[in-house]
Amino acid sequence: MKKNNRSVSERRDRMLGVATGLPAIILLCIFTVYPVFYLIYRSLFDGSLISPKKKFVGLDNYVEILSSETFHKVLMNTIIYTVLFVGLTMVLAIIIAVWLNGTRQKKLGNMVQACIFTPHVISMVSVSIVFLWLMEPDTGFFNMIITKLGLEKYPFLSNPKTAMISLVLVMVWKSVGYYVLLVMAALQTVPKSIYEAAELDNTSKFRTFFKITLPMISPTILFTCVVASIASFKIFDAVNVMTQGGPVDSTNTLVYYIYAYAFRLGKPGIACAAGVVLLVLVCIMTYVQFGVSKNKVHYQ
Amino acid sequence: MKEEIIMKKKLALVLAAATAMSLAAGTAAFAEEDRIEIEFWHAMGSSNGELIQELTDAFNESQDKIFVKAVHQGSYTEASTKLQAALSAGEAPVVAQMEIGSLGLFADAGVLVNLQNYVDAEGFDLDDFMPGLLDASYYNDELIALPHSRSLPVLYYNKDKFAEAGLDAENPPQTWDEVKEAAAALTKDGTYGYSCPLDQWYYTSLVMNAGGTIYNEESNGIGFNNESGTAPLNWWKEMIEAGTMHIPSGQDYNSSEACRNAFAGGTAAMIMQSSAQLKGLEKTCEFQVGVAAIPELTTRAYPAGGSNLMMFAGHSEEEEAAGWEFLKFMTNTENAIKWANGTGYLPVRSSCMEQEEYQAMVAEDPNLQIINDNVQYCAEATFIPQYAETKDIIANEIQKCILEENYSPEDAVQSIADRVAKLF
Amino acid sequence: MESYNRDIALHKLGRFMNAALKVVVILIFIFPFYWMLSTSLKDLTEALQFPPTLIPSSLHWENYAHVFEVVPIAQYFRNSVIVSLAVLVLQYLIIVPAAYSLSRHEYKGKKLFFGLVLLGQMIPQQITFLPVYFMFSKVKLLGTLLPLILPFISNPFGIFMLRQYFMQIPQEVIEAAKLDDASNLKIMFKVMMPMAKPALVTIGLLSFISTWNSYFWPLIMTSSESLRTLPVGVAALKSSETLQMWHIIMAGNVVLVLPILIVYLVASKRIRNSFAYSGIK
Repeated sequence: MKKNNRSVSERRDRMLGVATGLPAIILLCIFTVYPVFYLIYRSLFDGSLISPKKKFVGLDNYVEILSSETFHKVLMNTIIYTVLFVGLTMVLAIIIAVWLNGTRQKKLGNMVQACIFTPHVISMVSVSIVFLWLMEPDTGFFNMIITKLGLEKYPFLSNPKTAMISLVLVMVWKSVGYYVLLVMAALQTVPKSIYEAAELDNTSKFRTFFKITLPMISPTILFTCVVASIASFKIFDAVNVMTQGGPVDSTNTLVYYIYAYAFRLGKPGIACAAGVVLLVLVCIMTYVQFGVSKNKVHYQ
Repeated sequence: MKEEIIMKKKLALVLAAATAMSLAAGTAAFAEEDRIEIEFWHAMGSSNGELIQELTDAFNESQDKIFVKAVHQGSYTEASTKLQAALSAGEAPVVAQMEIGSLGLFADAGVLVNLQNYVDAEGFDLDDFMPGLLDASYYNDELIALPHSRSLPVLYYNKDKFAEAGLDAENPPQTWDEVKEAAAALTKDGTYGYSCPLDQWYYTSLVMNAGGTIYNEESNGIGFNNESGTAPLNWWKEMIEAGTMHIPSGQDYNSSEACRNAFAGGTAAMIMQSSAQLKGLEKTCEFQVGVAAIPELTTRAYPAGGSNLMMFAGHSEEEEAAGWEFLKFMTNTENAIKWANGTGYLPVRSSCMEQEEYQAMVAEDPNLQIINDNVQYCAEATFIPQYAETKDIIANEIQKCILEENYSPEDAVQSIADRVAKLF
Repeated sequence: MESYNRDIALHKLGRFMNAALKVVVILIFIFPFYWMLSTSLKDLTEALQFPPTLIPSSLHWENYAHVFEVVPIAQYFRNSVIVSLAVLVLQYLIIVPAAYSLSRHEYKGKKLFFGLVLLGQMIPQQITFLPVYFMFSKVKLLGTLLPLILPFISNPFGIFMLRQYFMQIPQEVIEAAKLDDASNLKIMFKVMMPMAKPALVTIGLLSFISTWNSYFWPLIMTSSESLRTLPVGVAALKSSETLQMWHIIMAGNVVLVLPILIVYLVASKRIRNSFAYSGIK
């Protein structure tokens, strides 16, 4: 009898488990699993956005994008953007975090933290519009400063050489507060005793930073870099609002390319093929992320 | 007991009120139901958008069988995108105003209604339409659109600044050299003499004025892989080097907006923009706005611009009939005048010019006359499905030539020729 | 003695420079907000003039009236509110049972389910948008706000986080509740959820902020103006008039930014902690 009870309650337990998980499972299958398969499937056909008729073309779409100069530029831009953004942001974040962490002006320091984080919570669209306005070539605020300094007005976002770096700087402004937060959390895991020992040994601040602090937080830094890179691959909002991929495709990034081919040029087959490329990139980086996070745990 | 009675009375009141309301709502819906409701998508914002709403309202008030709901969908590019999306979802509106450039795309997909049937059934007068404009309404010899908001590129100039610089405000420059000279005279104190978006429409208008055509005769490549293609780029480069040309930022319609901002703000004294911006600019600029034809090099010819009204297949006969009524209304002589003279778009019917109303409006604003005088130079254009990508290629290459170094106009034009040839 | 005084002076100078630098940093991050507000209160001529004035010569509050009347900002605002709240509330209905299931039950396929959650966290919307778009278009739901809500209520990050919290609830607490003859439902509500309150708050805050700020997804999924959300509507302000009316655009931008700023001012520490947690996992 007892055995029956246990198995009955076990079955009930299992069924309840499945039942409570079912809604989430269904939704995840519909909106995550199915789209990935459909993306791969659709990338093997041509056709337009308008008519449902499509023809199987095999890997033609992939051949087309992989041999397209524009696509090469788009991939390069996405990688350059990622490297610049992650590099600048992390370096700045580390400097600011160490500075704020060691400061004695606690109240002011907290205010700085709160302020630099503010751009991160507002919409990317808001930030893009404000900076589009600040960088406006004819009437923008930055150009007012520039002309007051006696220089000529500068078209930040309409010069192919500076559009990308201008974009990067806007994104750094928006996100550095968030990364400062993460680095500070990492800094706070470093036991104070180590710092005290270093002070006793009369180690200079520089040595302390480079030989002690940095190595101790480096697993977290590395992990954060990888996560930030994955996020960078997806950049779209700022491009669509500020530069629309130009000038001369200098800020054309992968997601913008996919969007343009899907909706403006009406070629979903190409868009899906490019989407698969993005998928591959994300998978690779996620694999790296798992690898790095294992190290992180190990280190602790 | 008393409470019960009060409760019951309250309940009865509520029920009565509910019944009355639902009856009223039902009647109202019933009254609305008598009208066929169709949607009309357009790309008109600002003052042009208000006018198109006025015209739509006028249509709704003029009869009680049809109700047209006008929906603003953004710029021509955005509206075309949304329309493609709606078509793929089977949710396209009955009538839409679409840029002529996308004619090929939609017609090729077979989603447009052949209006010839309606024309024949009623004996509708097509001859009254301006011949040049009607050309862009046919695809494969089928009539699939009616001309409505057709525009041409023009040169707007700041009359006040002209006077200040000692130029004749009533005699704007007509040739490329004259524009260059005027620009030099106008450039001072933070103002540039000339500005133009690095956009394919304005570039091709200069190409055509230098004798080229957009596509070649075989319709499998560009028609300006020669001097007509490189001359405009050289002209621009010379002015940029002389510091007399301002380049607006952004892509596509964004750069046109920036261009107009520069004009209104006094940063640019002469700009190349669509004639459809006339009334908008006259309203917002605090100086006298002058209009001139795009300067010519060897001939005078302009690419067609603007949009047509199209009807989309996949709707009931009733809805199509309703759409046809609306199309007729929007393109009849009276409304064509109202629309053209209220915006800067071209009057689509020859009979427009004969009407008193038209002549009165033109007398009031001579700028309109200048626009209308140039309608005759609108050249026939082929709008094939490859046009969307052609546009992108041209814009991309001319920007590269102007904004980057070591990329000559010859390189750019050759590259355009190669890339466009691949599309066929 | 002299060198001692000098040391103190240098030290004070150092402290002053340090503080000054902090103020400069604060200004760098606050100024764009000020510029947004300042421009929004100018009239057209002043907004487009160069060099721009630092303080508006008079406060043109009617720009905001314009933004609400001429541009249907109120409509966009309403849509943003509906979508953000719908996602916020509905997701709890999905993720709480899901986290519960993953943390306290055993069944075949549980590992697969967890893998599905991880997959959901990994695959971004920039990859799924086109297929999901076609999907909604086939079932004719593109004319509703549903495409903006449904894909997000199975928030994988939320499931992941809640599961961790649930797993950390000591077994003894559950056993005690079971001894009291509590049904599974009661356990979930009266015992587990209160203990996971910090997680629930974090998930809610992050979800609301992210949904409110979302631009890419609503841009793709909504084609009619009546369905637009605030970020899409405000971005469209750039191209809606003859000229780029920066003062109007900025007014719209202020309307977009204000709700989140208010939430942030009220719960700044909590929000930062939420983001920190989500970044460290």
